[in-house]
Amino acid sequence: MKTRSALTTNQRSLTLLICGSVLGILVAVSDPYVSVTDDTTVVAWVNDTAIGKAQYSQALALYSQEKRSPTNPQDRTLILERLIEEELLVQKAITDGALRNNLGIRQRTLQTMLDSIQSESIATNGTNAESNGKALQGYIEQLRHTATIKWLNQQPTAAQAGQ
Amino acid sequence: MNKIAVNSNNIARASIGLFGLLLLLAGSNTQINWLHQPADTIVLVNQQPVTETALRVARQRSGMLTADISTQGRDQQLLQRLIDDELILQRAEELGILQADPGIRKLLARSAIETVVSKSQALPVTESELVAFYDNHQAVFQQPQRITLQSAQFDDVETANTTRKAVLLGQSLKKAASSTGAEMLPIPLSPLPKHALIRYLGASLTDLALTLSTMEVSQPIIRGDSVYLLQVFKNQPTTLMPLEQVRETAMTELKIRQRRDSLATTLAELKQQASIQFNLALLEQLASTDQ
Repeated sequence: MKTRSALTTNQRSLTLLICGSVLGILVAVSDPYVSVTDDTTVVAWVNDTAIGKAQYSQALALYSQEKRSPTNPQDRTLILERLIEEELLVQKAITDGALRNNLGIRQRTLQTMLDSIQSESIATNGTNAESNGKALQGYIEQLRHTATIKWLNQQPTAAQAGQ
Repeated sequence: MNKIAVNSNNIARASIGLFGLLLLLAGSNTQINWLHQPADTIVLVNQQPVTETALRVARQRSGMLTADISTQGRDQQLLQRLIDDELILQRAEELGILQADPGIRKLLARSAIETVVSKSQALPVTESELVAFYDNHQAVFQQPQRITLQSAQFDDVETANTTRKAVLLGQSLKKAASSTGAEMLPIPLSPLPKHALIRYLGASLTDLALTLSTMEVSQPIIRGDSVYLLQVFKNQPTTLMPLEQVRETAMTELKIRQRRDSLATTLAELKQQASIQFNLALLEQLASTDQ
């Protein structure tokens, strides 16, 4: 009787597991962007990245201006195609490690970040150079604080160990 | 017997669980960043390596600025700077700056194109490839038809006919035309291709001129209020330049096309691998408001 009850319990848990797996499979194979048509700000998704309505409209306006006539359906398809291609190239460059391997991109990204930190600081502290320097230092300190830094081939100095 | 049944149930459960886990990993959108660190890694910043090579480059770049600091002190400063830079880059990635900043996007797209193109450009071109390209693209290596001619403009057909007769008897068109008060068109007396002739004669007269043979004098041609006579001195037909003569041009052209093809192939591959979803409702709505 006891064995039969154990078997029933096992069967029940096995059924639940199968149901869970089936549900998992359904979730895994289901389209992650089914709701794309509900979004009124995105014209297309390329992998995980959205091509915004504003970006598309701006590209269309530029094209139309250059062409000096209103755009037709072929033009619109072409523009969307070009935006998708640009996005794919951007994603490829990121995957290929261009952010770290390409000096120009690295410098430009760092500069953009530093400019943005500085702009925020100016908005808060005005154009006080000392305050702005401190704000940047504070930002970096915060990043260091939350980072995992692991030394491999070289022993950290006292200052580094203290991070 | 019951024990066997329980065991097989456990095995089945474990297998299904494992299968589910595999499906989850395979279906996941998140890329697993398998630890890949170069051999000369000095420090890992959130799993991202800062390498000896990067330090060497930073040393070269810092150059004279840190000449007065000891080597060890300078390296510590540079390493700290590299770590800070890495942290800022990671933050930029988190914030999506790479995708959002138009300038950075352009640089990234250009970098991807350069990577693709440089790979194709590095491949050597064999002689047979070059010959095949030349054979298959002969139109590219053709010298277009060129004509050396003169043209006179008359007020009436009669004068044009008189002049034509004089030319056929051996007088030059210029002399014969000037004796009747006709005007010579200012066409350079050198072999000119179709596109250059059009500038002087217009499309219809040029098409007619191209059909005339060497030393032929046309019949009077009426165009608008004027009558024209054309005399062709030389009509060089379209000629295919021999490969030896256009080898360099052929190589350049082949490389250009290879570059274009490799980019097109890469883009096609990227599109095929990508998950691309269109918001058709919004696109239709935008198209209708545009019209």
